[in-house]
Amino acid sequence: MRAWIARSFRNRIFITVLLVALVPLLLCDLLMTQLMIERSEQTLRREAQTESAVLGEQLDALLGRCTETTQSLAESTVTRSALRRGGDDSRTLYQLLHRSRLELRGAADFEIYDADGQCLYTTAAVAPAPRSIGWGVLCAARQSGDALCAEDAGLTGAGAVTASGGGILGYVVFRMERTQLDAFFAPRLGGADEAMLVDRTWRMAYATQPLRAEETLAVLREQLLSGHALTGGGEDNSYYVRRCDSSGFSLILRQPRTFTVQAVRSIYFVAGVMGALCLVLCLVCAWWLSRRLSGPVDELDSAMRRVEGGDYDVRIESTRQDEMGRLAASFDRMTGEYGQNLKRSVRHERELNETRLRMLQSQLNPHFLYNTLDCMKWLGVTNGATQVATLATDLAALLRAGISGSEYILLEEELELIERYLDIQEVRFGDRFVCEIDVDERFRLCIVPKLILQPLVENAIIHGVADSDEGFIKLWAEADGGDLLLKVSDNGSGIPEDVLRCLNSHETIPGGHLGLNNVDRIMRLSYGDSYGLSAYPIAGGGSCVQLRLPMQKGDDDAQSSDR
Amino acid sequence: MRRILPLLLVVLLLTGCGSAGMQDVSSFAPAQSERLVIFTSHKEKVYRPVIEEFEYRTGVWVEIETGGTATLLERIAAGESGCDLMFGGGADSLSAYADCFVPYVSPNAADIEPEYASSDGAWTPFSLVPIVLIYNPKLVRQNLPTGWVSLLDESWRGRIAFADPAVSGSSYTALCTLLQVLGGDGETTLAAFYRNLDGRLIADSGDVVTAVADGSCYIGVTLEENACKAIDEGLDVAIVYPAEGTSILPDGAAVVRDCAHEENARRFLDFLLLPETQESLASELGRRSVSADAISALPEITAVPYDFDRALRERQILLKAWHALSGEGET
Repeated sequence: MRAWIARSFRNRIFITVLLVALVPLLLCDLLMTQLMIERSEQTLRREAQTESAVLGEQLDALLGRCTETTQSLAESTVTRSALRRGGDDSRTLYQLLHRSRLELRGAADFEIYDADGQCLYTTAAVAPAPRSIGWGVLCAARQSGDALCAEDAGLTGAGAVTASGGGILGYVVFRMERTQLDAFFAPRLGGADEAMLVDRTWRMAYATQPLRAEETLAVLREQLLSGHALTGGGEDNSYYVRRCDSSGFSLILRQPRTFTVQAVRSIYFVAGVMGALCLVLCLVCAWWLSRRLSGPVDELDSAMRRVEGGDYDVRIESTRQDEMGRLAASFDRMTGEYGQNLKRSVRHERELNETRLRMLQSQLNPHFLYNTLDCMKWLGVTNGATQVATLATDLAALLRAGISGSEYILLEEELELIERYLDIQEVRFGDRFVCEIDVDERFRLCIVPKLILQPLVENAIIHGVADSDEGFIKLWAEADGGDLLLKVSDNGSGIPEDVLRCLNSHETIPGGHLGLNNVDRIMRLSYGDSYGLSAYPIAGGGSCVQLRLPMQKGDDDAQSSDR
Repeated sequence: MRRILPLLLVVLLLTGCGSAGMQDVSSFAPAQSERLVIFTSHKEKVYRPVIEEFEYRTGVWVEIETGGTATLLERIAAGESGCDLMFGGGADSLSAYADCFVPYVSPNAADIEPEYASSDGAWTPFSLVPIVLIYNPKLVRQNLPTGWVSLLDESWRGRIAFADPAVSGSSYTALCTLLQVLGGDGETTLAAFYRNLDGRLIADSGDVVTAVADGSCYIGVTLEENACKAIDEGLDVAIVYPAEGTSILPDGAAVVRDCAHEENARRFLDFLLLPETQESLASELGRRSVSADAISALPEITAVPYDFDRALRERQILLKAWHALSGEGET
């Protein structure tokens, strides 16, 4: 996966977009679901707690009043005398009992038992069976004065009636039957809630819904004792417990859970389906976006690969206005220039080769001429014609220099060749011109292309001196920054205007002047376009031709490597 | 991945919040000093009023586990049962597991008739359960069974409901009593009785009453308690107290050694022996009290002195002889 992500820009975008879109979405999905459930459960919980608190308080109050009434009945002289005498004054006692019952709005029935557990008086329609005095509520009442007990589907409280001597005369009992408890609970319970009343060890006293209440209570009791949460054996109900402090009874409120396991499961299912849909949507979006974003990069990448393969005609031609568009334009420009440069350098190479070929061709003849000249020199020496011998010697030296292997020589060697050339021209022109070579010692070891000055001097003689009897030619060197300037001036008629223009704009000079043309081309091919030949007229007649070339100091080693 | 991990944790935390919304009820749970774990082999009709009254009086929370005597005792013997008190089980069974119990003599034990008391105090007797004969009054009108000797009467051949003594403790006691009462040569009597059963044995002692009530058997041997319960339920069963007398099995309760709530277990034993508890046995629960003074609504019976130790000692031999007979009967 990591490798797949790292492999391409597009995959990175894809994963990033996917994560950026999906993670917050899923988080929100989960959070909303969770919050919704939590929130509504909290509300329900609060309601249930309020409800059980109210129920507990009211039940406590009711039981308190029942107990109080029982106590006051137990202490009443009417009760005592009735128990002592045995039914003589039953009318007064019944009045008292019924009044007590009515004061409690029928919430409980009152009964009076004798010391053996026989029921003597009751407000209930049916007289209850005798009670064991050694067991249950009467026993507890005898021992502690009053007692409260859970009995089959109801509550019973008792108070002992004691004689002035301390003996037990009988018992006053209040009894809350199922119907009476139903009447208490039914209006106070909300919705589908159910309540259970249990004694202090959680044995059943009453349940609003008796069906399966015993089993549920058994499960709850076990859960309480084992320290588990109260679930009552299922997941569909919540249980809330409230202890009624005065009676020791506990109220267990059962509230159906709105979010049953099933409901929660279906909510999560919907959330899951939504998540899955989002995932699909994000996948599609991420795919589309990554393709769109990485398109230009891919294009650039493939174009670059084609360029690497040698295709310089590749153009991206993007219409975009952004960075990608600019990048594409730069790429186009770059490949274009690169292609042109390549073409230009190929053309340069070809031209240089052609020129060299031409020079080689022109060097073929000099070999023959050199041999002939050598022959002529010896003929001159043997026949006493010294000028012929000198001419032949100089010409031979020039020719030898022309056909020797090295392209570059030291300036002093070049000047030597120039002197030989001047010797020859002296024989031809006699003393019609004077040539002064004034090159400073420091330039003498500079490297120059071979025979590069000869066409300049020839040009000066032909154009400057040929028509005059007092020609003066001067050759000197100057340094100009890192460049070497070699200048040849004459005092002749000057160079015609159009020739000057052609020279300075490096165009081919029409008619003759092949020598100057060649010099200029060689210089520019060898050193670049900023070098070459230029010419300008001199005030007072004559002109000066100037050769610009880079200052390269050579020594014997450089020369030998050139060779 | 390392960057995603905290995110996942947050998600887990959020999802975890949902389930923790219930009321904390631990404050309602009783302290250890207010608890008691009771294993009981009694029927719910017996144990429930007793335990609920104990809870009502003391406020101790009793956890009840029910089961067969043998199963519960084996669990206790295996240890780690969590049980504090074994409530129920015949004196012979409790004696067999005396090692698992802490001897305790309740201050209320003075009233116990000495023949039913445990010799070493390992267990405390609770109630007495005589073995009785039953018959179906609709099917048996003449020649009613009178006592143990009726079981050898040929006229009941194949019509006697008797549980397998190898499985049922009460059945084994009945067998011993039969041999003891009828005297003579034990093996002959045993063989005669077995022949009279005609190879018919009831698998579970609880089904003896049913077998008689539904008419598949005419007479049966069972505990008085079961018979009384059946009569209460309106089944066609009548009780005959054997004329020769019968063995009366005390059942008891015992405090488990090294239990967690020993103090409460002792309180429970004290409670069992209270006069009012013993009185309620006969009046409410259809059982006989171990207390000499208790008034009982049940008819007076003649007790045959039953030698537990001998019964325990000779159990293997007797059962072997029994099995030998049953093997014979099958062939």
